This record gives sequence, C-alpha cells and structure tokens, in this order.
Amino acid sequence: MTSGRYGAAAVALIAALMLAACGGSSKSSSTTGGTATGSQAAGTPKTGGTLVFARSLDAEAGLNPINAPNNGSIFTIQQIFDQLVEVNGDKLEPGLAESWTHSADGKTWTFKLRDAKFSNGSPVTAADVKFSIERFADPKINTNYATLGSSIDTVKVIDPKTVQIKLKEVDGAFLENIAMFAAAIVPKAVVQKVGDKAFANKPVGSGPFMVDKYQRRQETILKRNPYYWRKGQPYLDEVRFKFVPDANTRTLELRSGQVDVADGIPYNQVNSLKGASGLNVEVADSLKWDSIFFDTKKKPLNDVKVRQALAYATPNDQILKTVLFGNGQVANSQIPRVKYWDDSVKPYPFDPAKAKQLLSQSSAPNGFNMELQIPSGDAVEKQEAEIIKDEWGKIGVKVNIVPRDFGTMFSDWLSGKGGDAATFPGDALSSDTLSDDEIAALMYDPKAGLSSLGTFYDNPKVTRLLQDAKGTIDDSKRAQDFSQIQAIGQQDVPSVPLFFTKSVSGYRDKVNGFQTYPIGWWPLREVWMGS
Amino acid sequence: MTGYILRRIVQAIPVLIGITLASFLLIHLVPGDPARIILGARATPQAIADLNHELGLDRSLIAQYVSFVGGAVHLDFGDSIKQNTAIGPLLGSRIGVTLFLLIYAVIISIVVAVPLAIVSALRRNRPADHAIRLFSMVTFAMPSFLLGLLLILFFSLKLGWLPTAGYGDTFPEHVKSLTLPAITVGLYLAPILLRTLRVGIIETLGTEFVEAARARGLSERRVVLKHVLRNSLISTVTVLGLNVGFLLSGLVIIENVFALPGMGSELVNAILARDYPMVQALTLIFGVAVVMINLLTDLLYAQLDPRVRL
Repeated sequence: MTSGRYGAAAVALIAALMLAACGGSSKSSSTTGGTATGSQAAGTPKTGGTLVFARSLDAEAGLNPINAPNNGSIFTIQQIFDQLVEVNGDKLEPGLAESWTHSADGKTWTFKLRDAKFSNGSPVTAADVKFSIERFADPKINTNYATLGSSIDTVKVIDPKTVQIKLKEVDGAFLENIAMFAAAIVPKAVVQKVGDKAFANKPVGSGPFMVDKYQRRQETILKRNPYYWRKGQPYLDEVRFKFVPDANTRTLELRSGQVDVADGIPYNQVNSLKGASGLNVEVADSLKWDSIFFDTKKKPLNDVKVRQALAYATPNDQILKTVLFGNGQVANSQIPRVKYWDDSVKPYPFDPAKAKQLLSQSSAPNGFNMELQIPSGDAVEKQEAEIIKDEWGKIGVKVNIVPRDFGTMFSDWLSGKGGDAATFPGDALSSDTLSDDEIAALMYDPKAGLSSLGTFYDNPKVTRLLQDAKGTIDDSKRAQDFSQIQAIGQQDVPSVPLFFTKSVSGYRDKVNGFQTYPIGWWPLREVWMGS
Repeated sequence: MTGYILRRIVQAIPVLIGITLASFLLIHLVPGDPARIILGARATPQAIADLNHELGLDRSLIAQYVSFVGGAVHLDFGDSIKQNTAIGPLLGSRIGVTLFLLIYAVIISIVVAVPLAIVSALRRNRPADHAIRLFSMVTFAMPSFLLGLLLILFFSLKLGWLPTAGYGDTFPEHVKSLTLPAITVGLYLAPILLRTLRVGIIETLGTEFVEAARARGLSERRVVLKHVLRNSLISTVTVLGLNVGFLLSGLVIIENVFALPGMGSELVNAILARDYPMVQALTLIFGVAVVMINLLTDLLYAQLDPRVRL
C-alpha cells in the first residue's frame, strides 16, 4: 500500500523547537506514557462515548475494500468490514468463519460461517462470501492486489453456513491473504444493486462500525454497528476520524485535548509529548521499513562487493539516534519484519575500514560518483541521505542527492530511469498481509510486477526458494525458506536496509485499549473511554 | 460606466481562454503516471493501460482538451482520480471555505491596516509611526505557517478560546474555526496595505486641495476621513486586488496547517497525486477567480476615481 508522508515534514524542525520550549514551561510533571504497544486497559470496559481521532491520512479514495489504494482508506475500511479470517496483532484469528479445515494436500479449504449480520440487518450468507472471494480472486476486478488472490480457483457454497474454496495450487500464505482488507466480505445484494462506485461512498459491512457521515478530506464519522457479532463490542458509540494533514497541528490538537488520539506523530516530538500530562505515546512495531535501494543493473552497483562496501559504510546506529530519535530498529533484512523474520541474521555493522577494503577489491577500487534520489519535502529521508552522503564520501563514493516529487520519482525508478539509488518515504510501502510472501516477492522477484522494487535484483536461487515457500503449508519449512532468503538477500544487498520503522501515535489518558497493529490499523472495537 | 464595464469584460475573454489552455497543458507536461498512482504499487502493466484508457488519457491532447472545456462550461470536470468521485460537487463544498477565509482575512487586514496607516501617516517619524512600521515588518516577514502555529499555541493551547484546527459544522463554528487562519492571512496582508496607504496619505496630505479644505475651516477629522483617505485609497485598492489574487495561492499552506477543507489543500493533494482532472479544474477555477478579482478591482478603481473610466 502506498501513502504520502512528504507533505507534513517541512515545518517539523521549527515547530519541534517551539514545542520543546512549550513542553518545558508547562506544569506537567509525571504521567510518562508507555512506549510499548497497547494502552492501559485497567478496569472494566465501559460502553458509550465518542473517540475523536486526528489522522494524517484520509479515506479520500473511497471505502470500497476492493482496490482500496492507500492506508487512508484501508484503515477506515478495517473498522467497517470483516474477513473470514482476521488479523489480531501479529496473528490470525477466526473472523466471519468460526472454524475451517483443509484437505491433506492443502488445496481445498472449507470454512464454517458464524451467525453474523451486516449493518443493514441482513445476515452474512455463504452466497455473500462466495461473491466477495470471487471478486478478490478475479484479476479484472481486484486489479490492485490481483496476485494476492491469484491462487484461488473456485468458491463453492456447500450450505448457507459453509463455503469451500479450491486453490489452483498450494498457497502457503492463503489464510494471510484472505485476511487482508481486499478480501472483506461484502453484501452481494447491496454491491450488485448500487455498483462499486456508489458502494465506495456508502459501504455496508459486518464490521464493528458503520459509516454515518463521510466527507472527503475533512471528516468521517462512524457509528456503532448494532448487529456486530462480537458480543459487547464495540464499546464506542462513535468514532470521528478528523483529517489533519499537518503533523504539528495534529500534535497540537492532541495537546489541547480537541482530539483523543493522533497518529503520525513526528519522531522529534515523541519525547516532549511523553512528558506532557494526560498524554501517552505509543511507539508500535510496524510492517514498514526504510532502505536505500540500488539499481543493480547500473555500474558499478552491479558489483556485489561495491554494494556490500556501501552497507558497511552506513552508520545505521547514528542515524537511528539522531534522525529517528531511537524510534526504530536497525534492519537485518531486505524486507520488513513480517511473520518469518529471522533475528539471527546479523545486520551490517558500521565498519568504514572493511568498507574501504571491499571497495578496493571491487570493480571501482578508486570510488565513483552516484545519484541518490529522495522524496522531496521529506525531512527524515533528507537527513538520512545527508549523513549517508557524508559517510560514503569518506570511502570515496561521491553521492549527489536529488530530491524529487515522489510520485514521479517512483514510476521513473521502477522503470530503471531513476538515479543509481533511491529512498522512499518511510511509510510508502508496507506489507498488506501478515505473511512474508507478498512483500518478499515484490523485493526479490523481478517478475512480481515491481522489478524487485526497482533494484532489478534477480537471483534464481532466491526466486526458487520463494516458490518453495509458497508451495507448502508446512510452517517450519516455510520459516526455513524465508530465513534462507533473508540471509542470501543480506549477502547480495540489492538495498542497504536501514531500519524497521515504527508507527507513532499519541492518545489521551481517558482512552483505554488503544493499540496500533503492526499492519498499521487499530482495532477500535476494543477502545473504550474512561472518565 | 456601462461601456467601461463591458470593455473590461470583453478584454477578459482571451485571458480566460488562455487559462483553460494553460491549465490543461501544464499538468500534461509534467512527468508521472496517474494510473500507476491510482492502482498502487502492485498493479500490472495491463491494468495500468486499461485505466489510462478508461480515464481517456490515451486519447489525443486535442480530444482531451475539447472534452475538458466542454465539460467545464457545464461545471462538469469529470471524476477525481484520487478521490474516485465527481469533482463538481466536491469542489462546490470547498469553494465556500476558501472564499469565507479570504473575505474574513481581507476584512481583518483592512480593520488592522486602515487605522494604523492613518495614525502612522499623521504621526510621521514619531514613536507611534516607528512602532507601527516595526509591527508591520515583523508580521509581514514571518512565514505564515509559523505565525499560524504560534497563534494556535497561544489562543487554542494556552487560552483555549478557539479550536486548533478543522472547520466545524455550523456557521458560528465556521467563524470560530476560521478566526485564527484569517488572522494569520490578514496579518500577512495588513502590512502591505498599511505601507501603501501610509505613503498615499502622506502624499495626499501635502496636496493643495487638502490645504484648501483646511483653509475652509473643515475639522481635521473630516479632512482626513473624507478628503485624504478617499484619495489615498486608490493605489491601496490596486495593491489589495493584486494581493488577493496572490493570496489564493498562499492559502495552500494555511489550509494545510489548520486542516481546512478548502481549495488550496485540495490543489496540493491533487498535484502530488497527478490527479489530472482535479488539477485542471482547480487551476481553471483559481485562474478565473484571479481574473474576476482583477476585474472587480478595476471597477472599484473606476468608482473611486472617475477619470479612469475615460
């Protein structure tokens, strides 16, 4: 999924200084927020109340689960819809399907549906499931995420409460894939009656909330779905998503108490917010990451020794401390931390001597010039790039930083017409599923549609391992394959991985049960308002 | 007067045609593929080609221009690529916000600038004049996003009088929500008016008809308000007109800072997303608005100074 962070960063520095000053003078003393995931859920949940949530992104692209193009829409959609199998933190749990079985060969899956209703009162039937999953599997309808539904062959209604899905081939990530937003179960009758475009404005789902008011780039108001199947949930009567694109304003809205939650808090404001009374900061793990990608077709970056030298010359720890204010983790993989992430793979240490030595043995022993394109207006990427330019310069690699509008830069980059290297905004790409398959294919498989994220990396051994992993439902076998892929990827370094980045949100004391899943959205059905 | 108005309107027509051409061509000259942006990272080349076809982006530029102008005449700008909905009604709700903000800001700037300019001119080179000029220099030089954030810090965070951001649902809420942004814009505009008006008043004060008015025994108050001010306003009106057009583009940042659902933030969003139809529609509307404001300025100018009608 793609999104845009580049708008907000321009004023961050000055405002941070102002806020630091302001934070110091305020009377707040204690109440430092926890940095772990999940807000304090002390006491018994209370029903009622409104949660006002200032968001950095808006659901402006519509609320239709199929083809939802960005997190602005996806994160709202997840409050309105259910899938057969659902995300709970970094695990899957039963959703509209209360149980499921699969055949010995892993190609036939049978789902038993629970009693559930859409927000218009009509029951969720096997026919709705068949309709929705068939749409997900149809590359003509599910154009944006076609590959994730491509293993599905047929969907059969066995009885009103049972659905059978047959696969063309075994798909190790099948359950994770049908747990994504695009595979949400929609009411067949409504979608067929109003069509996709109207449905995007007035969606009907079986999720905890339903749409009450939808004003693009302004406000989306969700009301409790009275028919929701999880007993007692949601606790909130109402969720008001307020679109506040400017990061500093969002933070001020939270400080002034005009909103209860704000997402996308800039790294440089985390500490000052933690010190403010009545406020908490959540720094949550995410499926996002930050890397410097190389065009491995270009000389001398086609030489693995050159790429390794650059990896050794990159001071991840220093950048993490100074630019991200510690809110991240030095990455040891070419892809984010998904299900099979192996922490035993070592990240490249910062070792300029080793970098110099490797470079001297490479095809460019005396160094070279390269162009690094970065998204314009993104303060974090710019600061990272400046530090890297400095360090790489010391081993003789002269970096020319070229900031560009990200939309144009990205399409140029994917077609090999960008610079020698590129960085993307830290939240531009993230995994849409809880399994490695999706993002690993994009990164390592040049034929997966994005030319290995524009690196044109192509290692037959890795693509074979990818296929092996996909072709089995044996979890330990899959874990082994992905671990090997991770190790080989780190050896070949088509990109210098920088960090696994975090999602930073702030919330007020009265908000209970708030958490951000690694996949990026929040199970707001669990949130309740204290006094 | 009627002849003058008609003449000015006819003169505006070629400008308007130029604007449609420019707004249409500009975005096509910029690289970037809207289909890729809409469909996201995973889309296949076939899906991208299909969407470009569906959007009509594979047609000739002339065909696209003709359908653009044809639609625009009926306020039909097609569908927004990014927002997946009809542009006309969407922008309908945005124009009000921006206009409201603009008018509010102009009123604030006039309320601030006119009295200060009079005081400043009458007390030329005295402490009051220096203080006013210093004030105007500071608010003019301060970047608007910074001024906006400072105002938020003080009025909403410290005093809690006004909302931090947003637009509200009812008219009183709109007024409250727009007060800080309007002050931000108004304080940028006020110094420009103040300085022009101050110079105008000083010049007028030295003219013979002012001497004559005084000699006739008119009160100083009447001399200044009736004779001096009216004659000094002419250049100020021109400056105001030019700057309001310019301000339209400046609202972009303010709307972003204060999370206002106006035209400015819509334009930035559309440009970043390569939302061709939206960019075209907005450029056209902004262009037409500037032409209209200039036309209005000319008419007001003619009203203040009958000589220009000749």
